[in-house]
Amino acid sequence: MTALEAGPGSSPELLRQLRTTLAKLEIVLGAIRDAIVWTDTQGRIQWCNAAFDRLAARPHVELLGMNLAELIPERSGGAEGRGERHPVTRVLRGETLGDVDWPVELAGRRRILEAFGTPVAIRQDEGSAIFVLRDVTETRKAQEEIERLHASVARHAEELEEAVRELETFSYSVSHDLKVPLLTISGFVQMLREDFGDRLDATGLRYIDTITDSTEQMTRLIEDLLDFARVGRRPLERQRVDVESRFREIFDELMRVSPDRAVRLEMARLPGAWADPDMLGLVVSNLLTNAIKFTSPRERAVIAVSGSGSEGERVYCVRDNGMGFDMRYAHKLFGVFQRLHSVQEAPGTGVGLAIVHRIVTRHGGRVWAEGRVGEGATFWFSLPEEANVR
Amino acid sequence: MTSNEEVDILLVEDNPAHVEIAMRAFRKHNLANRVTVAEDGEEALDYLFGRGAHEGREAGRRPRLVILDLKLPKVDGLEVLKELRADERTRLTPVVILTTSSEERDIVESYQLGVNSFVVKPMSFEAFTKAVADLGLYWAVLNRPPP
Repeated sequence: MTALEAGPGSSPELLRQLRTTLAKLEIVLGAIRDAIVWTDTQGRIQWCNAAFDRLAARPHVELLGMNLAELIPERSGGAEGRGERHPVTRVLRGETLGDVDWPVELAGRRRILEAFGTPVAIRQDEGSAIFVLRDVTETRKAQEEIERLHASVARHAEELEEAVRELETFSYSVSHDLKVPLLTISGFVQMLREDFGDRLDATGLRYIDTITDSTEQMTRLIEDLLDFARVGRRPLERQRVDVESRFREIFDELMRVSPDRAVRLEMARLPGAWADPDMLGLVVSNLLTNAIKFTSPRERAVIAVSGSGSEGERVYCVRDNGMGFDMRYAHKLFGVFQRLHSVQEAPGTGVGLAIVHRIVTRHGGRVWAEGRVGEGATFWFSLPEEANVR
Repeated sequence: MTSNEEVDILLVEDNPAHVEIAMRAFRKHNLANRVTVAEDGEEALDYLFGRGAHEGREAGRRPRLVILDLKLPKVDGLEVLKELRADERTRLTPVVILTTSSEERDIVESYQLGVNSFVVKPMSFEAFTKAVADLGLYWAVLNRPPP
């Protein structure tokens, strides 16, 4: 058998295997999206893959023999890649570059390439260098955009929080300052009535009573505004709270000060929550107070409280069979001093629900309501569980 | 000018209208002739230590009660309290703070400086009058002062 005959170990066989392997390699290298280029120690391109051809936007044959450093010179005006710091220069000097960002101008367009390069020694006397380049222009742009958006969102959140804090501080200090003349007005009107009431006729006394009623309303408004302002100022001290007993305690307390009302509380078992106990108490108190208030025309007032929980959050529901509200105005429900009923129908200043909203929002939860005129109202609020608290 | 033995209450309040309302409450309970009024912190200290405008007054066991507002011109309420507690002659004098502020830090600091009681000024006439009368009656009549 001669060396030219086919068979394992023979030259034609080896040649065929070699050709097959090479063909496979060509296909693989051609399919890779990263641009790969192989140069000699001067930086002249000895081989490159299809992706490099596309990156350089030139025909393959034109690229062979071209100097890589001349093909991709430093970006004009950029400090990157100037002379000694040029990635090609560095690699040819023996440095291995690992994924450096390389701003370039290729085929008339500015790009950012993520560059890997390393000197290679196949044979003792024949040195080379290999470069792998990835066009990350779009990726970097997207990353920058994301960072910009993040910063913008963070700034807006900070500004919003600042604005609310300022509003609370303002409400707080103004309310305090308003108390002073209010006491004077209230005091002197009463003194007027006591000392000179006998010299006034019915009309005069009515005038005085009107002033007194107004000062009382102003007192309530200021107290409620102070409550609202106070809510945002204390830091939250969260812990596990037994919500069911909070509802029970607060309901009993509210009924104690309204002995003339007959209200039934139907409460299912409630899951505990991760919340500030005092703040949660305020939420419960305000929701129950409202439910009790709005069921006053009912002979049989019923308040149903239920709750459910998943791993992420707890949701509680307070439903009453009172006079309800018009859903068309539901979006106003939680605003400060927003009232959907006249003072005759239901006394109050309209701050209770604003307080509930503020507290629940500070906990990272949501509050919402549904109602129907004459058929009662339902309020829900959610509280995120400990693991979910940002 | 009431003699030292009769004055039991020093009311330190800068708002004259509020002074008038308070005096009315005291009058209703026959305490008015035992009240002296100071309009700012400096006058209060002058009175308590017998100096300045009140030169010659003997500092000591009287008054039996100081009703003190926090927001005062010249020398504020907490400063007055501090000086009161720093002097051996007045260290034990009962002091009640009656002020609009309900700030926790004011309450804490007041108690740390040794105030006996902290009352937030009610906004309504009835409540304010009742509070003043209750305070006067308790501290000047019912309570046993330090000997």
